[in-house]
Amino acid sequence: MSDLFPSQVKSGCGVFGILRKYDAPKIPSVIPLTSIECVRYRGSRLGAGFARFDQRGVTGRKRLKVFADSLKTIFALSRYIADNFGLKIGEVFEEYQSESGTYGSYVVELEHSDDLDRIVREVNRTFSEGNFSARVYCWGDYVDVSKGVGYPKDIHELYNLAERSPPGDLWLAHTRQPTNSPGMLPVWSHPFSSGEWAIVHNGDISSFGSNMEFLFSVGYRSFVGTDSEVIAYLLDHLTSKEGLSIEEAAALLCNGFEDFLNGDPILPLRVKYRGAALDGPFTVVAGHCDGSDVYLLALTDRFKFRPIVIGEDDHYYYVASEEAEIRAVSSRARVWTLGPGDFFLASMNRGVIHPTEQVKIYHTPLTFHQPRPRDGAVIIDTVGSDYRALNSMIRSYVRAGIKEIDLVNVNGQRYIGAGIEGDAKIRIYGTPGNCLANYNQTLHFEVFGNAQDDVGDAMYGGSVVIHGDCRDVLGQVLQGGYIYVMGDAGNRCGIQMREFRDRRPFLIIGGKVDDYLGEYMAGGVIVVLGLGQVRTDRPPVGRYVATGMVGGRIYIRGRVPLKRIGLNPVRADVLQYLEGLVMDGLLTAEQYETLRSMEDLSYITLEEVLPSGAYKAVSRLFTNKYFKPLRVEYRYLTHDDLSLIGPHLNSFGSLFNLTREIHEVTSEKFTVIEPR
Amino acid sequence: MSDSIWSNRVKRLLREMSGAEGRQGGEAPIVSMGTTAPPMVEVPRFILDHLVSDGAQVTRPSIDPYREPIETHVYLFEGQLRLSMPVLLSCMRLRSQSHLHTVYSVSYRLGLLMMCSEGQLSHKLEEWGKFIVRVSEEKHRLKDGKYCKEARLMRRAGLNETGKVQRLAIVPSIFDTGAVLELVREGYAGIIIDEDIEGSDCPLEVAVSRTDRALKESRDVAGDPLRWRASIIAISSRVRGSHDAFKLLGLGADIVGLDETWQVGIEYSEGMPDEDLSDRLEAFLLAVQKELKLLAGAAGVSSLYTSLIGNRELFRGIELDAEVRRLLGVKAAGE
Repeated sequence: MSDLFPSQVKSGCGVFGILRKYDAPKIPSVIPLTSIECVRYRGSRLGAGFARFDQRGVTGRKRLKVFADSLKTIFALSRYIADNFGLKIGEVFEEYQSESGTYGSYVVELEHSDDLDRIVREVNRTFSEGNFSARVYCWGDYVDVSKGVGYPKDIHELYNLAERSPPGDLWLAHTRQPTNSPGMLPVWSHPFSSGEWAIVHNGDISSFGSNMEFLFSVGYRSFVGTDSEVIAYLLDHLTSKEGLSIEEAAALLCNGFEDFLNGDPILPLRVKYRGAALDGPFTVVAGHCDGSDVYLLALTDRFKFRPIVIGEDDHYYYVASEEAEIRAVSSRARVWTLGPGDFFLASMNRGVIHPTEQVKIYHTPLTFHQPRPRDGAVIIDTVGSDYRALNSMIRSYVRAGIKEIDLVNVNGQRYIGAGIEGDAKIRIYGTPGNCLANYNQTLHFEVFGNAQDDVGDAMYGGSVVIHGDCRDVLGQVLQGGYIYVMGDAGNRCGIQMREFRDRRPFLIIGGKVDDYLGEYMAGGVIVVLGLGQVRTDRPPVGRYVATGMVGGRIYIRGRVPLKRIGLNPVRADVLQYLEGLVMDGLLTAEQYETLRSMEDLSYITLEEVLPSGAYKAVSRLFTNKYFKPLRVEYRYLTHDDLSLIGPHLNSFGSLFNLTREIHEVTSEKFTVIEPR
Repeated sequence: MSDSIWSNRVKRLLREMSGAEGRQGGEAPIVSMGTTAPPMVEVPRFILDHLVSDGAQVTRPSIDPYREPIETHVYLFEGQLRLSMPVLLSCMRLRSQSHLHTVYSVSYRLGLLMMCSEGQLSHKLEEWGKFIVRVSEEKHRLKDGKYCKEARLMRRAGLNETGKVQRLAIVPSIFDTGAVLELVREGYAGIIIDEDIEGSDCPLEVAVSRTDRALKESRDVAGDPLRWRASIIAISSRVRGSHDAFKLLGLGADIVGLDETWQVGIEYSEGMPDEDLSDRLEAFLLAVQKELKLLAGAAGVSSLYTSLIGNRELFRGIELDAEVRRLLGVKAAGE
């Protein structure tokens, strides 16, 4: 019944990847199944799949995996390969049978060929253009893809992976919510594989046409028509044909903003392989084996329009759309986010390859307090409970006058507390799902664990206290009450925060945040404390802080380079303009050289250092009719500042046992940002 | 032809961009969904009018270029020249030395190309010539009986730089791509397809798209596609602004030439003071850049260089003949 009339909770696709460490046990298929089924609501009946990697080879024999409309087509395909490429065909068998109007999955064993990639392309061009009858979807020696139309559990059963698939070194899993391409055929399901690569993808890449053009230019002609497929081809082509390292290919695809590349050697590669860069929203999890090592790669787009978390425990590395997927199989894993436009790469033998520095800088574990549920409170065990049932119970208790409710074993339930009125404290033990405390007015939440995306969206009052990290879009349109996060938070925190009369929201983050802090902010107060960072020379914020800010105030511990505040024109364009002023005699070559050596070319700095005529000219690059200048000060906190944020900092310190740290931090300098 | 494409609506919008009309130059004019632009109300005249951008939607959100970065820069000549936007100012008809200097000042500050003929140049401009495309009057015969001209970018690049001389071939807008492939194999670093010159036998849209595809299909001696080392510049007096440029970029042009449109936009006259010319042209170009960002953002694209050029998938044809769509590589609306 629930599959026929699926839950109204819909979301983007769900992705998952797991890699074992070299001395850890191999991974049975039940692990990726358990994990991806945890976010079943992210998908639909229109596609799911798994990819298993084994460094010893998945079968020991060269084989093609093919979707075909009949056994007859498979024999025709085998004959085509034998006749046109002179390859001997071995055993042909079915993994599951085609039924009328559907496609089955077949395996065609054949002798070794160094030219297999080209042969597969020719076969796919011949059999899947026009009257689509068959398509090869997996042909690597170390990768085995099992995918089809259904939920992950259906596909797991269809291929009987529990019995037929041995444990692997790496698994990928996917549940699909098709948007721009149909989902009624298995060829459109993920993972997509090319050579010794397989990928799963959540997103909708706007560069799809450019990527197809690039692949066209290097000889690819046959596509099933989804944007996800090209990512597998790109990774395979760049690493196996163009000789790029996995790191180079990943950086190329992630397509970081030029202005922050700082002479990165990826720039010449971007020029040469420009159609290979990805744009638009994506989270990609990829697996690869080169015969001697197995790699888990995760990519995210430059705006980070899709969720992604990384995890690690004693045995495994994880990548997932939601932390709940990791928690479903590992209660002890340390979980963190991937920065916008960045990638994560780990291998079975080498461990974390990229970004090692980020891991070192930001992930000093803060002390977690995990008190047990207390006596006197109503305790709800949430195992197996969906959010509607859970919220219904909470609502009943609150209406009955219960003041304290403890939710235990929470893992991934969304919308906790949404739409519930009343005065009560809700303690959450575990990992609440997305959209915790949305529209909250009066409830007080305390989370013992990490929270996921979109906490406190459009919250009017009450509070949220998180004894851990929080992910993206924290406190969006926060307009009353307060949110305290002991650890780090992700991308787009406090965007569109606002205040009205005496209703002023406070968002305090103990660790660091990523890009777009306080974007479009119109009111309220954000404080980022940067506690727990090993490298205090790095600001605890990402880029594009306070872009479009028109009200409120942001406090960030330490000096934030002006380049990270607001949306600035690209440095290369500013320098070009200044060079033009030298040509016109408005600046001297010496003045230009001085400016060129300066790291900061923000309008605030240029206003100070340029002659008025030159500043007036170059300021055209910075302003537009929507531009509102910011006042940015790097200073010690004043009496007024402390009367504004001091009470909240004191509460923050006592709640998290960080009183001493808070005391020390408040005597340091802060970057204070507000509209002029 | 060129007179009638500058309708009052088009002229007013272009002049608003430069500040020649309206309150504030340098901004993208605001129109509503009720615009009378072709193909829905005004009669479509060109293939460009039948192409629409397949905009962003819920799974691929639009990007707000006023608060989030959209990159308009492009690289030419295998990365040796960076332009702040994919625009070339054609100045072939300018007679005034002082106006040429002024236009070049603006081009140089904004980091984009200016094209003029060899004879127009003064020595001073050559000193700072990294953005000047200098067109030779000498014609070279192509294999098919048509002619091309040669253009060069200067060696002296600007402060602290000594660039390499780049040779470009200027060809008419021609259907057959054989001659262009020959020119690239001969070492030309770029092809300027100019629809206004003698010998053009097909619309610029078709010539650009076919040239882009032909260069992608052909290989150099190293086995790499010729397109990787050859840039395409599309020029026509009928390019009316950033919307046309955006579509030509999508069909495969690396740079689009603005010719009459900038002169219409700034209300150019031979007697206009240099200061007005400079102010209006700079405002006009900054507005063009904003429009390019808005168009890209609306399509969910954040880099023109990596994700727009040649990205035919972003466009759909409305009431466009199937054969023309095939030649362009563009799908029909709804496909």
